Amino acid sequence: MTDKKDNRESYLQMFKQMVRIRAFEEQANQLYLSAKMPGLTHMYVGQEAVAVGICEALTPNDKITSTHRGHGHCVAKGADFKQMFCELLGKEEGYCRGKGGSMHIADQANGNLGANAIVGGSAGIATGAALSAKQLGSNEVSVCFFGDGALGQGLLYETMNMAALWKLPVIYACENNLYGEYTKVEEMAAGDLMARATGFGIESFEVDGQDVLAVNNLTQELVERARKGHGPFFILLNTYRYYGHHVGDINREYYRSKEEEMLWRKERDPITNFTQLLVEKKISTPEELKSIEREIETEAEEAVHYALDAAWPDASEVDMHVFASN
Amino acid sequence: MAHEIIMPALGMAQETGRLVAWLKNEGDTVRKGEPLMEVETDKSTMEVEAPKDGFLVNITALANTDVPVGEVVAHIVEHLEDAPAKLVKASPLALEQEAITAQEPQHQASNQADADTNVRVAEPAINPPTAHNKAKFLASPKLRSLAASENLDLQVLRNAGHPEPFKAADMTTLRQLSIRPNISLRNNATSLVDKTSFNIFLSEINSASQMTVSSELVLASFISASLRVTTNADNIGISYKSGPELQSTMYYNPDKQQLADIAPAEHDILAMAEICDLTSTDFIQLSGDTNSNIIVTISNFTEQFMVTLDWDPNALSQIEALELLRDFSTRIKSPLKQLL
Amino acid sequence: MREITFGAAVNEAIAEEMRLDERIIVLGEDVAEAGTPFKVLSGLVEEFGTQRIIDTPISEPGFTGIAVGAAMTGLRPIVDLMFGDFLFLIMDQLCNQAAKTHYMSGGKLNVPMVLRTNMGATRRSAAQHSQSLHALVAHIPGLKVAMPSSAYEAKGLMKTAIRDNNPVVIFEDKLMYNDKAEVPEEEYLINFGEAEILHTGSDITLVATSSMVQQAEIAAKTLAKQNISAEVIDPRTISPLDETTIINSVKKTSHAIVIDEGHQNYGITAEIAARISEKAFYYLDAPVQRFGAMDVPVPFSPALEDLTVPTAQQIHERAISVLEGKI
Repeated sequence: MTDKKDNRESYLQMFKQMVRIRAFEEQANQLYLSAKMPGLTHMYVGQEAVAVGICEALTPNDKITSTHRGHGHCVAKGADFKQMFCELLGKEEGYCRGKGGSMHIADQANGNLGANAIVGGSAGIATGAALSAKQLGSNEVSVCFFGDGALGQGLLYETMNMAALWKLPVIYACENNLYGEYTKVEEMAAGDLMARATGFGIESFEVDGQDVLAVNNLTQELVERARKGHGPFFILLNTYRYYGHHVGDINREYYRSKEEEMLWRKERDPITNFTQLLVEKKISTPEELKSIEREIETEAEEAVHYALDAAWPDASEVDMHVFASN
Repeated sequence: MAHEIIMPALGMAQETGRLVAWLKNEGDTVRKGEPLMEVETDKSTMEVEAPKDGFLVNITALANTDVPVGEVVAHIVEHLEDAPAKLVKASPLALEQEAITAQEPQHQASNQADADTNVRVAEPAINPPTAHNKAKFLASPKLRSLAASENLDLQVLRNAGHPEPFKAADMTTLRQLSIRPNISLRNNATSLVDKTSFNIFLSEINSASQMTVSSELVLASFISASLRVTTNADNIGISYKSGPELQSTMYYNPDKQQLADIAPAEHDILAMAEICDLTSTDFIQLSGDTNSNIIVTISNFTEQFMVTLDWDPNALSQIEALELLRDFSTRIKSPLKQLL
Repeated sequence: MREITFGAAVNEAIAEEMRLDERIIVLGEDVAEAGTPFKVLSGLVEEFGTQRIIDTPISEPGFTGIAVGAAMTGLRPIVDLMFGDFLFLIMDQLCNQAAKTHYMSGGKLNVPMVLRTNMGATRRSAAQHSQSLHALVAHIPGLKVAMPSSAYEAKGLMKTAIRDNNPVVIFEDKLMYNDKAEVPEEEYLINFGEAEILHTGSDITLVATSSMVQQAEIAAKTLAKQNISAEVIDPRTISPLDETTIINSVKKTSHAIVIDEGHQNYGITAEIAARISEKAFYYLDAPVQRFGAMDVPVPFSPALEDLTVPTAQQIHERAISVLEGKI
């Protein structure tokens, strides 16, 4: 076990990152509700510990692929608020020059190969990144984030099969937030969820997705093993999204009870619970943590205003970047 | 002078044509080129256009009837009172129209001036060019481009009953059909005119005025006057070729100006007639490649002028042509009378 | 000059490039020891090993997706799709992922991958193994499409494709693998977007792709005997398409037939014919002709299959009809 002092840095870092995600998402939600955001977006609130727990075990060169619910992964992998908000608003300064939007946001410098609008659509990309890592001997690993809904997509199984055959350094992280769009996971995925991976001979683990420490510790272990060529791995993270499938999914009692939502918010909130732990272990104080929160919330607010005022891409950009130059 | 409108022969083996519809009525003013009637051939429907300005009279063929090719179906006259009602069998339509026409006071004018007024007043009642007047041809883009570049009209092919769609290979036919009638299809008349009085007249004028009045200006003025008298035209442009190189000068209504003041036209105008003045050359005759309907050639013939009038029978009747020649010759013979 | 087969030319191109660049790998079904059912890749695994010539399970979307990811992160994969018909299986990875990544990322992520697949009927392989689906791919912005018509083009275009930093799909006519043509020993590349005029002519332009180029050539020779001079043009790549060469040709000849083995409706012939009509309209003396494969699924029976694909004789007849104004 490592010293508490060393851990303080990393614990606070994890706390900050989770707060950052939540602050970002709350602002994004407001942008949508106040009709300032074009299109739709998908809130990650409630699942912060998954993204943070995993990404904190990775280096900037390690690769991740994300989903349509991708802001959490993007922030967790080190993205900047201003550029993210700019991307969500379609502004030129966005990570993708406004051309990707929420569902395709990518941060190449930090190893984020992009959110994907096709459910399960990035399984191939993450696995391919692992193939590159192995081929080039870079020691990198890649993490494929996907939800329980993607367990219905054939591509996932094809790529897990090949990852297992070729022993690729990829971690398949299934964020089971119990619902695929508006349908309960039990109604969409037959049989045992983990058996899907163990069936390929892939070592699989289940973890409480709301416990950032548990997630992080497990991931660190698996990442180390993957770098040594013992991959791939499968992690089933049990978690919950507080908001609807997308920002417009407001009246959702028909598929999800308010009681259930309240329960998760009250008793399983990753940030609240981690706060408690930090205080109990005397790593920080409520005041310090509150002050960090406020600072981050301010940063988020300022970033939103920055993005709202930022310039649109010039019309001449519309047919740029169809092809890369040679 | 009445101009006959006939049922045209449009196909190779056609005996009759169906007159589908009249586009103008009995007594209407028509302009040269305006569609008068629609006729149907075995291939398509086409419009027959008015060959000259005037009034459409004596409509004798009814719409939706088959008419033998070559038969007269109507006349165009310059003055309504000239309608030769006696020459053609009267159809109920024609008689009815005639009765109405006779009642209208403006048609009972007897002198030139009123007739001129009538012609001028009638001018506004012209059909503006509408989309349907621009007959749609089926033709390849290439053929259209070629025709346009040579300024040729596809209507010529249609009039000749040439099968559509027209293709590039049809350019040869189009060119052939578009050639202006040979001079040999034109008429001409020549007279010898004594120039003694003319020469005296010229020298007197020149000593009297400060400016030099050339024979060219006088002849241009005389021909313009003669044309005006003969055809009643308002605006007369004269293209006058003279000098050893037969250089062309344009004059506009020269008869309406003082001889000494006549100057070449400032803008490009459509010439009604062309004067070919060979008197500075050794030639007495010259005919050639020209678009003019009326050409007057003047040359030296011992002590006289030889004046040849060459005309397109569609533009002038023989009576008019001879009158023109006579009038011009008279002016040359007795120039002083013209000044009075 | 030496003559080699179409298949050998493809093999040479890939091998040469793989020697120059370690990042190039080949993925697909039976690509290693078997060298693919058409034997085009024979010998590569012996030289480059199974790390770089990778046999995959029968998971077309899977290995295409993996190739996309690999291309995004430093490798230059060549995906071998055994039959062009399987394109339908991989459309998401090819058209939603590979084609759009560069654009959606604002130019920050590249996908330098080659998809090698085939086309062409008359092999008695029936409807699901005989399709020519290049039009579907050419329709998607972000993908380049090459169609080699002989061993010479096969080598030159493959090399260019491998060196291109964009996703390129190459369609090879599966019936041409044993056809020989002159192929230089020295290295050469064929640029994308450059058509080749095989035959200059002045009476009619024949634009043809892939194996139809040969058919057009035969038709041109027959026409020549009747004193009709046809200009035969091989676009070589349909995306990007060398419009200029085609337009200039039709401006000269005023007649055009476009011949392609994809279905006639909504295909390559329609696109090229439309461009000719747009840009050479005033020079046309006859309507531009599309001549594609029949709009039917490819039938199995030998009595029927060959009826569905344009032949030299039919091209010849069509040309005569066009020139005689019968169309």
